[in-house]
Amino acid sequence: MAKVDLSKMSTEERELHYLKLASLRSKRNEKISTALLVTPYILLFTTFIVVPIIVAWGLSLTHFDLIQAPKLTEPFGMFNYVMLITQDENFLKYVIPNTIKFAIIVGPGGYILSFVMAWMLSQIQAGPRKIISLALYTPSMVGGVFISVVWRTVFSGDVDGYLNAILLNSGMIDEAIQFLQSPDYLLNIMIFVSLWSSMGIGFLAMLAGLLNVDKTLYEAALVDGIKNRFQEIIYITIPQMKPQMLFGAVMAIVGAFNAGYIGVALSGANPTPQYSGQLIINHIDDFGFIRYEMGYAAAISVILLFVIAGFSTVAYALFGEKE
Amino acid sequence: MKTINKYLIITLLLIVGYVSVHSIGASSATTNTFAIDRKGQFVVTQSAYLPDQTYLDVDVNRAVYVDKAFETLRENEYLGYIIDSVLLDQVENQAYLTLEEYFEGYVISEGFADEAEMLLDPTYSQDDIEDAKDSIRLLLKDDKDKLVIPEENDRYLALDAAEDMFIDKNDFIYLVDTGNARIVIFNPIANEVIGIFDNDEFESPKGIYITDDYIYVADTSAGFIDSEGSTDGNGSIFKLDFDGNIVDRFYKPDSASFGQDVFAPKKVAVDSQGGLYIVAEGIFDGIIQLSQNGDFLGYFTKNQVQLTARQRLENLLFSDEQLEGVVDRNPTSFSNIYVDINGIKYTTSHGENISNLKKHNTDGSSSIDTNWGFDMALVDVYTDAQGIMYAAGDQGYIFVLTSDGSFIFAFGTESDEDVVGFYNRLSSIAVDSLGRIWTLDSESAVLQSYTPTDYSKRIFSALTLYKDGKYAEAVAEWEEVLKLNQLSVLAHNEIGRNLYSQGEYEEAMGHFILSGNRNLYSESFWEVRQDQMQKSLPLTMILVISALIVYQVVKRTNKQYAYLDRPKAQIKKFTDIRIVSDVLFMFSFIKHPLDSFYYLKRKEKGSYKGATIVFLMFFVTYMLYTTSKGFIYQYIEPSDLDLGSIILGFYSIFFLFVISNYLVTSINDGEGSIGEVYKGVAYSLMPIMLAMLITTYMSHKLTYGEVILLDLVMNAGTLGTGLFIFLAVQELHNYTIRETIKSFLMTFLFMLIVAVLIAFIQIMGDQLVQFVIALFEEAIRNVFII
Repeated sequence: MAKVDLSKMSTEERELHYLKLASLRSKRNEKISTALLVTPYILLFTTFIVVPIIVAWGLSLTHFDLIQAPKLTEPFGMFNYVMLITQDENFLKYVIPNTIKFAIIVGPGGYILSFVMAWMLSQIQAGPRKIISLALYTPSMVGGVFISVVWRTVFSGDVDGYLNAILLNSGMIDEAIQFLQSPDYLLNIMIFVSLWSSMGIGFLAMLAGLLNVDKTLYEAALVDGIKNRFQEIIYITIPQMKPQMLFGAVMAIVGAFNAGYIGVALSGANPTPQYSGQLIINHIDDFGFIRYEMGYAAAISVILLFVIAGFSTVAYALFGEKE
Repeated sequence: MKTINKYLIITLLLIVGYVSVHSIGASSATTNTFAIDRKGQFVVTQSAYLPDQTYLDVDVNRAVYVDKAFETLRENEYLGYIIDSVLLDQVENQAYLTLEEYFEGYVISEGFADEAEMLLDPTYSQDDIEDAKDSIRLLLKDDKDKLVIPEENDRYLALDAAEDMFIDKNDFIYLVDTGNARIVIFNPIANEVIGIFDNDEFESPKGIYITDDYIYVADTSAGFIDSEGSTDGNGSIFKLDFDGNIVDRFYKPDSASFGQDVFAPKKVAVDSQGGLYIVAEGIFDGIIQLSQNGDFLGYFTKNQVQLTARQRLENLLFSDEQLEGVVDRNPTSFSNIYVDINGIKYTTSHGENISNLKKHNTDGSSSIDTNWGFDMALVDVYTDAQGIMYAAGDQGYIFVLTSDGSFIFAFGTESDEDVVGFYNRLSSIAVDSLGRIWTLDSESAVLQSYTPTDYSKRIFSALTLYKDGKYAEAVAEWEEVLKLNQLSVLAHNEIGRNLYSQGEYEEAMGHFILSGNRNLYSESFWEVRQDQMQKSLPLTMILVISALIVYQVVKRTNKQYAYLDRPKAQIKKFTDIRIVSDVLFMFSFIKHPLDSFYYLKRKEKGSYKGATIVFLMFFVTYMLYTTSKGFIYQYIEPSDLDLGSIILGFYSIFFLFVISNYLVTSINDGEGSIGEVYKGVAYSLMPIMLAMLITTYMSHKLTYGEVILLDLVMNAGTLGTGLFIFLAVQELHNYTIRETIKSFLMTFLFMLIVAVLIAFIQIMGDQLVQFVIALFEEAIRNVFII
């Protein structure tokens, strides 16, 4: 700003000048206060999200076994990725198909199940709704404990396992089936258990969203000629609860890709028997915390990050608010 | 002259009887070898074994043959063909004829009508038979190269109801001569009986097993004899040394856990520790296992009770008292047990629709599945040094299987033909060190051997080569097998496996297609695909990255220069053509199903032409899906499909649904017209059409590991189409959900009624046509003739 001679100005000009200065100052103040306001978030986000991602990406370019210093791999640090795509037969043959199967069924399946359950609950009185929604939400809260106590007993491989006992008694099978150790069953059981415990946070959000839809809208629609419930859902309910739907979708996607502990908890082994229930998370665990090949595990994590990010983008495209 | 003819014909009959009873070596035409083709059906293949030596019970005098000949003729009306193949060269490859047909032709051509009459009359005198004896001897001496007839005292085994045999390491055959209560040791090389154990203790020996040191004999009725000389009614197992002295004897186990009333062991096998495995008559609990001291250890393995659907229902509904009333559900009993040199146990059973041959793991479960989908009761099993299994079926079939339980071939007679065939009752099978199969017929007391042909020898050696890891040599050997039998599924499969083991996956794939082995094809294909993917990985990466860059560049520069506007406008011009937009309309259902049906109803979008094109596109897709999936997903070969009925069914179901739905809804306040229902249903086919296209294409690129993806796509497509059809009915007729469901149920009921009606009309139509024709014929006859 050029130097201004205040003495040469008229009163009006001077006032205008002071106003300009004041507004500039307040703008600066605003910027500072905004920066101060977001600092805690930025700090936390950087410390717990950005830094780990960068570290993981950095590690994924190296050999790292926790003892020796990380060593950059050849060529250009891409060794781990090349290995993953070309040499890791277990990854290509079992982990990818398993993860896709698991994620496709448990993700959308659990999501639709959550919505249907929430919608049904929204149709009944408040008293029973609270009790039933708590009952539905419980499995996702206590998942780990339940799996090792309830489901391992139900699917136990000896003749005293509940399912085996029932099947044996009714003459459906001749000898006890090793449900949790058999490649034919493990993944399907994992999917079943995951679906059972899929009524999580997303479910609660959708329930809340459903209950918040303005009742008068339905009445208005009825006047406008809506004939059945299906039209209600498509034309009113879902558009009204888009944010909750989006939240539920993202939670379902992340949940589906991160639910690796189930296979290990059920079968009691990592890798799971004949890699039958091996998901990408188990593979990361296997290499990171059992074989201590941190670089390789980090590379898989980075791939997983991109996969989840990709699917979340799809969810945003479907349910996100469009400006 | 007449008597000569008579003798000639009687001679023929003698041969018939002789052949029919003993199925002599020269008549190899009666032996068919079967293999399994790629569709799992039995096909006749290259002869695997040739009948070699036949040892008859020549103790039975020849008059019996004459008797049997006539008896057979009376029982079975056609035997002409056997006479043909054995004796007469006049008619080559004669088909099966009835006796009358055969003799009519023969006798009339030779002018022996009277003899034929006499011949069919079974009253013949003893003198005739004596004469016949002489004449047959004469005839057979002349024709020795054709017929192997035993010399009088040669090969004299004089067996009676021989139930079992075993071949020791010297290739001596131990025959259990049950009827005469003795063991006959026969040396087939020297062609002499080298020993007979006829201990007084033997009552009814039925099974034998030989270890390096001892001979074990199972006897069903040689029970414990108390001081008063009366037996306890049980059987026992004898342990003999090689001189025939009884070393030890195992009676009924006195352990309390052996809760059986009777102990009647009929077959026995012994492991290397001397533990006994016993199949006993009337015991359904399984194979009795005794320690080397005779202590009862339990049941080694058992067959499962096979319940019919009705029995399952009874189990579910009946009270305990009612269940006591029904017949016991006993499992299939075992027929035999065998322990090979490695201590692996094999059992046979004669059940229906179960694995009758089992190769047992140590816990008693079976490591092979031999449920071939037909009822073939097995009586005995034997293995050779390579672990190849030879199993005998009681109807006269001999099955040969690899050590991992895959079927190599079977040979024997067709069981449903009434030619008195190979065996009256095949009772035992054994294999000597030369690979010859020995079989024993207990009823006619015939011991028959077979030598492997070049074909089967090559198969066995190739199997051994694979086991030893000499893959290249095994392939060479299998190729020789293919020269002998080009269609051998086994050979192609094994070549594929050998190539797979050598890492030559692409070649292996071709052989797996020929053998129909989808699992290993999938494995090989995985390797090939992996290889291709690795090779093309850098190129793909470069392409993907450059495509992304090009996309971004075009996107940014287009903002400034708008050079894409013209092509865009042209595309829009194309999609704005009515017919194109009507076809493309089907994709709008994905995002806005309800709106789309609304537009369809308001005739704002979509048209008959568009719907018909979508429908025809779906038809083409459906045909592609049915006929040209990738090998591992195309379970039925296109050549086996009945395309006519598939097409007919396709169209009739579609139009039947449309018409039925319209008819049902038009009387139930439905707003939609028949044209709207047609359009709605046709547009609803979009999801399943997409799914079928994707599945058909991807099935060429995927292996079994990824089968779930295709399942998901197909399920999603089917669900989508189902949902759309539901919505179509709901929206087009302006129904509530309840009304929609009701109209669906009524539609399906109506479709069923129409289908039944059509079937009824089709059946009755013929009758009607016949009736009308008859009516007119009658009328014409009455009008013009009278």
